[in-house]
Amino acid sequence: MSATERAGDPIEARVERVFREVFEDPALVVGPSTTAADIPRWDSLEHINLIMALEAEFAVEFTSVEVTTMSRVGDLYPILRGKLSQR
Amino acid sequence: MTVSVEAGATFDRLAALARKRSYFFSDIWQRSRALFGEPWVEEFVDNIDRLFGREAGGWEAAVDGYAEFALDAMRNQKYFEANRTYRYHSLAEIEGRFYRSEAHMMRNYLPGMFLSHYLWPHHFRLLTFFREQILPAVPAGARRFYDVGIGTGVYSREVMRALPQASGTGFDISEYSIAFTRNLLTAFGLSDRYSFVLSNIYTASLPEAKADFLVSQECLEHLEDPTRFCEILLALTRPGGRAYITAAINAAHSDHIYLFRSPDEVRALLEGVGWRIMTFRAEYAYTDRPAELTPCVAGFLCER
Repeated sequence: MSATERAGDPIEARVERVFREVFEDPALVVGPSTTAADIPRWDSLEHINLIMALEAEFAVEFTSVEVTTMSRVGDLYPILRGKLSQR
Repeated sequence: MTVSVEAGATFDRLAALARKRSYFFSDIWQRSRALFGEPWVEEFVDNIDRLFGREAGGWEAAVDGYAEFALDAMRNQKYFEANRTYRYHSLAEIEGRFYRSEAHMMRNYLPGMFLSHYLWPHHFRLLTFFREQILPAVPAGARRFYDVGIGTGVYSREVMRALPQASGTGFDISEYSIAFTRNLLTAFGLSDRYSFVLSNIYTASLPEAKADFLVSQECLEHLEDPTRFCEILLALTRPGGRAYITAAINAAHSDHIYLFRSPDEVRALLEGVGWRIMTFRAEYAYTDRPAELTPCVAGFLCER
């Protein structure tokens, strides 16, 4: 799938795709309520990998407050929508 | 040793607060508790209470500051791993961006660095090494102590506590490091014997009185010219006096500009300017990565 095709997908689908790539699980399903309790490998080190992968996927930069206060997948959607809408 | 019920309960509340406010940066609290045990809990809680517990929102500030500090380190370490160099390389790039920023220094950097002395195992192990092996090696009867690049003042606190007969002077380029250290020493009743000099040690007039014992803790990696700095440290120490000098190695942070790739590089620099190395310790942040990609902090007891 090309970058253009990826960019046309809903945010939720693109986020899920990033999660699958970072955690190397093509069957991983994530939703708004998904937390680290649902993904055992999701610790502080993987959180940074995830953040950097999301920043690359969406061409955005998260603030330190956004990164440190994040605890579930659902926290990402409004942040990403806000950043993408500012373009 | 059984931790007091109060300290244990306080720690649990702090850890829960960290988990609530910065979930992915909170797991280290319980990991370090498991690693270092209940004496660590007592000391950690005492420090948090003295430094952050006397003001409304103090605990939140400490927890948030640590999370931001840890995030800064991790982001920069990722940059370092990809590029094999630090992001910035000059004082000009970092001074205005970080050291002159009250918000950065007082809300993020200094609280975070202070907590890292306890929460990061390799930092706490080096602090323990300092207490158990370096302080006993301070010249007998030492009365004058200098700390150059005081940071949070943790090591000044240790020396002033261990040497009740000594006076101390802390030198730093940042007014915020001085303010934080003053608060720390005051909280531990050690400020009466300690004074501060706000200056750039490279350009300032050096005091005529030389130190019996000197500390410079994780300063070298913040400098464009650590060689010249170590020459200055030598000049500040009396003949026969001793110094404890540490450096971060392969450890990225926003304000790390000089890359040491091994403890041997630091040793060579120190010996090259004339220090005699008496003993040293290197502690690594983790053990499952190649050494050249693993943050390390190394401390050297030196003699002039």
